[in-house]
Amino acid sequence: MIRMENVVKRYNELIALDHFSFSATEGEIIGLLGPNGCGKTTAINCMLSLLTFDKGEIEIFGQEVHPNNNAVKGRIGIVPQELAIFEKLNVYENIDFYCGLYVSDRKARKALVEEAIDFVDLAKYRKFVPKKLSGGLKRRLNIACGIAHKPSLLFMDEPTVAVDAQSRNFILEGIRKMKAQGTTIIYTTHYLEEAEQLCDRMVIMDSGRNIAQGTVHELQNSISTQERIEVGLITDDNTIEAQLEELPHVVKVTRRNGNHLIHFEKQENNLPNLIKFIESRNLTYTELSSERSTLSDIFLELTGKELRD
Amino acid sequence: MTVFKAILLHFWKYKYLILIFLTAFFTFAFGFSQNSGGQTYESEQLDLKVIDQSRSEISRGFVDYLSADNTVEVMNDSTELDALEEDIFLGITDGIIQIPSDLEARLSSSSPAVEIISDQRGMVHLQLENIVNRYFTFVDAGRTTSGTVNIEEMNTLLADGISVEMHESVDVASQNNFVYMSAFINFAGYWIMLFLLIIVGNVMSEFNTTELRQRIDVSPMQTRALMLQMITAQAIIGLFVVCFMFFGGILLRSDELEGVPLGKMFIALILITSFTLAIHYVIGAMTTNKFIINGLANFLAIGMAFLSGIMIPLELMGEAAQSIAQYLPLYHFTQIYAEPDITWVDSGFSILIVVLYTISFLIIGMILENKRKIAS
Repeated sequence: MIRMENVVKRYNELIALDHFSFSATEGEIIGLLGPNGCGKTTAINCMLSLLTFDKGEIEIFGQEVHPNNNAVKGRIGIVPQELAIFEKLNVYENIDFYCGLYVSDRKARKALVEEAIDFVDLAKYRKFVPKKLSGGLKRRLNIACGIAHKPSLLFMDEPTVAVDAQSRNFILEGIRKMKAQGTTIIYTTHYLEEAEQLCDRMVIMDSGRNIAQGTVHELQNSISTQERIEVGLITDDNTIEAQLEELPHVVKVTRRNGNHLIHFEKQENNLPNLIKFIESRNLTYTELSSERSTLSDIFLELTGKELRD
Repeated sequence: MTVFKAILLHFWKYKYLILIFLTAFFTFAFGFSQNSGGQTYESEQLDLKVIDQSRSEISRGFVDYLSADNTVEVMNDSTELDALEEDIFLGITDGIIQIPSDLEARLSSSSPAVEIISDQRGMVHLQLENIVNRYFTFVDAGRTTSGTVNIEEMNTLLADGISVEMHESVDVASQNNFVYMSAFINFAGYWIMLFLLIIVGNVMSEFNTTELRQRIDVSPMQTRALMLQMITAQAIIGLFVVCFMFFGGILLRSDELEGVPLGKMFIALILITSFTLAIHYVIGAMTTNKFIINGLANFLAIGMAFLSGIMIPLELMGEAAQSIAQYLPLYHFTQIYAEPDITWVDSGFSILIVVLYTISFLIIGMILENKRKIAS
């Protein structure tokens, strides 16, 4: 559905996209992750043919993207991060306007607008102008404007920024529904837990490059980030920390909430080894939990930066 | 909803501002209409000081003549002239007339018979000059025809009023109608530009915000179709305003329209509307910054209006400004109805110039719009 191959985009000396490649297939939700300025928006703008690029190829629906390729453009939707709605038009009029850019038949459009209003649950507010809506409701309206024409491919740029928990859950649920209907979604976000929950695959970008891509599991396996096991031991033995450090593959032992947090090198037998150690010393434990690398850890290891850097 | 309908809907949201604009226009126009019936002048009784150094029969007759309608104080000495001049400055006295000792000799020569001292900036000075000239014209006429002047008889004659009734010719009335209506259309043209710049500027600046335009740009709507819908919606609003102002002007002067080239004036207003919208389109394609849009639009349109004789008659400007004006479309806007009896052939050249300017701006706008869509 989308194929971006070695795309290079320069702004004078600055390379915004450096041989960036990625692909997406039908019905996938792809998370485009990266710190500010890593080239996410540039990549999206190139795909939307809002920007030209210096080298490479971009194909959407098997066709080359071009500002005048209306067949492709008609199947794409966009939900920008900034609210792109008319302050002077009410909810219905806003959705109708954007739907009208794609669907000229009035009857069909009316049905689509009603469907979009129901989808984002704004039926009660259809006559409200945006300034009378809360931040979360405005976000929903912003989404409705991008999806009313039922695009096959949808670009969503941080749709849950500055949204309350209720609206966020509502939006995420809506995105899952769209995926179920076969829509391909390119999703950018700073909320890693959101990306973990939603995305089938993730593309991690840094300095305009695709530095890693895959499912969360694939990404976890692709890096050397340690496994962490937190254990609460009941013991008076002051040497227990030193003994834990002697276990195979232990990198270090730290304290968290009165418990021991043991950092292991990535190995399959870390947890069984620890349990054996506890049993062999007849120790009692109050809690035991294993943590796999989070996206945040993966991101940190791959880029050396926090996502919000 | 189409772009066309959305723009009209936006204009509807500005209905009160539109109403204020139109009301303000007609308030001004009505005010001008009331003041356009010609000027009236009434003479007033003057407080005069006469320094009579001649003490002749003519000078005494002159004092009698002045005293008939004014308060006159006769003085024989000119030593107090400085103090009297100060009285004029203070508004205590309206004027001083100094009759020289050689009055008789002056009457025979071309020198002024008497010296008038008054505030030359006021109407009183004109009235005083008029009164004095009238007396000495009669004296001169009497001396020329019979060699002598019967002052008493002349003063009686001067005291008689003359009833004058002015009959305006049809041509003069038509000319006056034309002058008023031309000024009205100039003013309407300027007001339409201002209206379009402010109202259309505000409406379109919302359409031109980066986020909204980006959404429109990624849609399959073609630049040409978008432009057509935007221009058509704006043109409908422009046409509404033109009709409102034009027919409002006709209503204001319903019985004084003879000799006014109404058809040409209407066409001129339509053309200035189209031209202003075309300017707006170009500016809107150049930038999405609301402040730059409004600033540039005002600078260009009001600057051109100023240089084209819409605000100030071109005759009052320098030669350089006049030659620049001839290349500006707004100059040609005023030339479409430059004369009361101007023919369509004579107006044709100016109409063509404005139309060509409008088309050129639209083409430039389309090119810029396409370039903006594919930013690099």
